[in-house]
Amino acid sequence: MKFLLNILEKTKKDLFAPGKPLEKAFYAFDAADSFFFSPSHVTHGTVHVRDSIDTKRYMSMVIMALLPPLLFGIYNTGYQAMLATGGPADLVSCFIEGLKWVLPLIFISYAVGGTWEAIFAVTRKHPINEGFLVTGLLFPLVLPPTLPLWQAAIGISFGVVIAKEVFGGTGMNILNPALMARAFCFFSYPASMSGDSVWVAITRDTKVLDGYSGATALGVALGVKSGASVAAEPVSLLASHGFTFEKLAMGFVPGSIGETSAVACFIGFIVLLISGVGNYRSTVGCVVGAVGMALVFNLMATDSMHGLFKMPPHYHLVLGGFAFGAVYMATDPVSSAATNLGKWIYGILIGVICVLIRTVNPAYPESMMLAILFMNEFAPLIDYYVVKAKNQRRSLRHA
Amino acid sequence: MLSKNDKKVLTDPLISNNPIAMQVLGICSALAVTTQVKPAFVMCVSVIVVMCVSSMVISLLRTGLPSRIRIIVELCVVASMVILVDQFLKAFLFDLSKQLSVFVGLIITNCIVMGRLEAFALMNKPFPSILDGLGNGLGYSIVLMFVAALRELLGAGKLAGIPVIPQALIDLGYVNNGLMVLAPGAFILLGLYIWAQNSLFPPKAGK
Amino acid sequence: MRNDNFYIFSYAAVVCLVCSILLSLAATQLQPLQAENVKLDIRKNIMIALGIIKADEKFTREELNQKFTAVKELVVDLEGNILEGVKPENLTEKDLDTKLPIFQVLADGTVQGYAFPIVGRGLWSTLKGYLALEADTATVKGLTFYQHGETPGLGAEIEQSWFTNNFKAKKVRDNLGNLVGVTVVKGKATDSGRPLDHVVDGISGATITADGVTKMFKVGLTKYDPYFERVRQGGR
Repeated sequence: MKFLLNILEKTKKDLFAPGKPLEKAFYAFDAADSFFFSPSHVTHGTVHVRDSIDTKRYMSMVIMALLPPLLFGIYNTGYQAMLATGGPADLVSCFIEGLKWVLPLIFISYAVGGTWEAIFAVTRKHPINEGFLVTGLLFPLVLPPTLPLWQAAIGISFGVVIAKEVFGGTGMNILNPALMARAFCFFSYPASMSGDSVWVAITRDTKVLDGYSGATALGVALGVKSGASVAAEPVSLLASHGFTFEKLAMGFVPGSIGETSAVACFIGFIVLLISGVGNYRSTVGCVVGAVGMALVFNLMATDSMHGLFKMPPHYHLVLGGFAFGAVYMATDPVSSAATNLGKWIYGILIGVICVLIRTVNPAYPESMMLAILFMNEFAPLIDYYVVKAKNQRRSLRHA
Repeated sequence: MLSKNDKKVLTDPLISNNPIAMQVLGICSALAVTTQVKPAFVMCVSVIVVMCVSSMVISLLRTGLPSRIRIIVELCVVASMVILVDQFLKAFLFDLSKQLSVFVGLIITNCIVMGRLEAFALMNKPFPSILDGLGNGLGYSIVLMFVAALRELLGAGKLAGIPVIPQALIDLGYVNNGLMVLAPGAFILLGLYIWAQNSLFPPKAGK
Repeated sequence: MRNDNFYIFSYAAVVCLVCSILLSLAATQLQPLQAENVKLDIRKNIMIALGIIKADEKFTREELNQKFTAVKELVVDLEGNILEGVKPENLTEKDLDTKLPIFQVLADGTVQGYAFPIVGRGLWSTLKGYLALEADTATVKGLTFYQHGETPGLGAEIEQSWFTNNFKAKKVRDNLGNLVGVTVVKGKATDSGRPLDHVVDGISGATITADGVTKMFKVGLTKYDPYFERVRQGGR
């Protein structure tokens, strides 16, 4: 190992240093180098607009925290496919089947997104930033396993170039790049990103709508119409489709790869807290907001309204992308609010808006994405007023 | 044929002083009518006609025009021109005018038109004013056609109504990009256009 | 330059006068052409619904008018009485609540089908179209949407022929003669477990728009039912 390291260091000095023949490609080489070994120089200065923590350490911890939903997602993707096709449903074969679907998406995400990162790093002459390691993994986890790979490639290109590099690169972006990539796919290729047939990994061909239809729990809950002969209670209706609360929380249901299991996300949340890189305020805020809004809807609900109005609050927390978004997306240090009070406001509003969109506009069941992106835009404003209020209080005190 | 100055008046707004890309005016219609090439083209022609004629009229009136009612007279002339164009489209190009719907009428509010009248036609002779109107209209059209062509190509797989995506690609699973049909698609393309222009022809500093 | 009030007022008056003369001239000269265009557009949509022409075919003005001679225009009231002397094109928006236009397609003096306008709400917008029934008033002859603002790629698929063609030959009445309409189901019609005569395939990801279509069928058919009831009893 030491031997390899020495070769790399020597090549770097001989070929890529300023004045040497391959000077222009220095940062491309540097990136490859630091991918294999811890870089000889860690990022310093403010790569994050407001966070001076060593980016590499930060990002490694987030990757660690992402492992539970990732591993569970791989297993569940295989498990759902086996359920649908009647294949062997033991742990190993489910995991292998899941890998067949999830690995290509992760590979595409890293390869395409990484290429864009490298292109911008080289032209702008700055080291390739480790931030993409997280974005490149977050993105596949919020996708349906059946998304055609070329669409994933275009999605992550959009996320990296338009949502991040245009604003000046890692730390300068207003919006979360992984979510922007997902939003792009969602609006560009709705047939591959919504409906009942995309969540179970059987075929990537979106034109094949026949066969197994894996209705999502959100879709089922929405289906409760007034006057329908089925039970008007969303809980029993969900249960009659096999969606019990335990199952939804554990995540043995069709859905986006990493989003189905609230439990796995919760484990990830604990990892983030213990390692000290995470901040509980945004996440807890999301939960508070969502529960509060759901209770308001419960009070408002009349018989003529559809099932989501009547759904108990704790169901909202385990459905769709809520848990994943609250733990991994709302806590993104770059795009969320920076002040502590700001994080509370930011989180609570995400929860409120998520339940609001989910319930009132059933056309967008995947409301967590929209809620977070929407609040991303307001995060600087929230911080501005929080800081202003603080300063005002302080000046009053000293007046 | 054209003097050096006239040429500058005509060609400046095409790239280096493009009304949409550099001054970011007239965005509204650039978003609204660019889902397909055909209506965008008709829109471009309409804007060029309105700009040339109203520039000429205002330039002819400029010596006798009382400055206190200047804006109202300009509005009056532009509005009349726009209504005329709208009436002609309704009579002769009905299908396209249906697609353009209110946006022909909204040329009135297109800042480029009023902006050029105020900035140029009020102070110049009729001929250069027409050239200025033509140049700015063309500059507007370049951007509009770029956005429209890409939106129709990516969003509907067509160009001017003719399918251009090979069947083989569609069989492989290619689908059109729905975002391009929505207004944000136009915003993104417009942003990319401005980005490309600023990188290729950097605006002179200190201007 | 003079800047006194008299000058300004007379200047403004002249500008206004010139502009208004110009505009009224254009308006009066072009009015007949425009009215003709609107009329033709409506006729085109009716004929598409009735299956006389196809949506992507191009015709000249004369050809369209020629083809429309096969169509007889009627206006009926809510009880199904034919209102003599009233033409559909003279109806105002408000009249449409109580007076219903009907378009019959005739061949050799017998009625081959009926078309009438239907209106409903989709996810984002008002859907407008024409529904055509066969002479038996129970079978769908054709369907066309000419105005909507649904999501491109999802709800907007309703105007595509793959969707509208599915409606052809579907029955809006069951065997007992009850009005049931045609329901756009979620997913495939064959999977819905309902009689295939009354259901069509849904559009993936556009449930709300599809529900809107189902509803506008029911509403439109109910409104015109008194008239069709009379047709079935032999007196039209």
